[in-house]
Amino acid sequence: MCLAIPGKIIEIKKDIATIDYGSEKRKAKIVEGNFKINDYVIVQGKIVIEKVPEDQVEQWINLLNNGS
Amino acid sequence: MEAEVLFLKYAFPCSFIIKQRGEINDIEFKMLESAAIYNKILPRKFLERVYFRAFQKIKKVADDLGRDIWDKEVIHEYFIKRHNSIIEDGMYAYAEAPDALKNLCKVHYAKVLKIEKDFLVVEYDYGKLRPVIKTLIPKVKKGDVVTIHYGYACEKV
Repeated sequence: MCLAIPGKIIEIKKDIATIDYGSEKRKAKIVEGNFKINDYVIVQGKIVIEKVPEDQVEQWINLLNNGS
Repeated sequence: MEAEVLFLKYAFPCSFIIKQRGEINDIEFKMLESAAIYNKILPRKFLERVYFRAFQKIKKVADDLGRDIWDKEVIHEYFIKRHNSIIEDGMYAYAEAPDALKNLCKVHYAKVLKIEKDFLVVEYDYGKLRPVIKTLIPKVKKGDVVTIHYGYACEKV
């Protein structure tokens, strides 16, 4: 449900990140790359795919929620 | 591979966005996912409705090439070439899209560096790494060149 929008990493234990989407939290595995707490990321299939620069997050969420 | 299946290998990764927009429900999403993974042929009308944004543009490619929208060459031309230039030029909804989203939306050629149980690690764009889900093309080998879209490997090249 939240997978199309960026979520914020709030905890990392070993290779499992907890990601906050505002309305809910989900866990995903970090398999490649350097991620840290407070990074915004995109998850697919319970894997952290890519980082999203913080200044692009709002634009991203607005775009998808406006359904243009 | 049937045209409907080929289309879904490339289009399915966008379904998360379409679901986020509320244009498809959970059942439709699961149906699309299962058809993309297990190479099932879904009705063309259904696919044309769900992915109407893609088909608006595929229609143009088909007209340019003088072929049908369900011609596999048209589908390849769209996803591998035209789709990326539309994104780069910021046309349609991409005008408002941030760069990180555009990068995920583009279809890239990528080399398989690592194979794990559920995913691959691939290299694209001269040195960028991305883990991608391998369910759409389970039979890949290290060193293979594949196309990637969002968090998925779509097709072996």
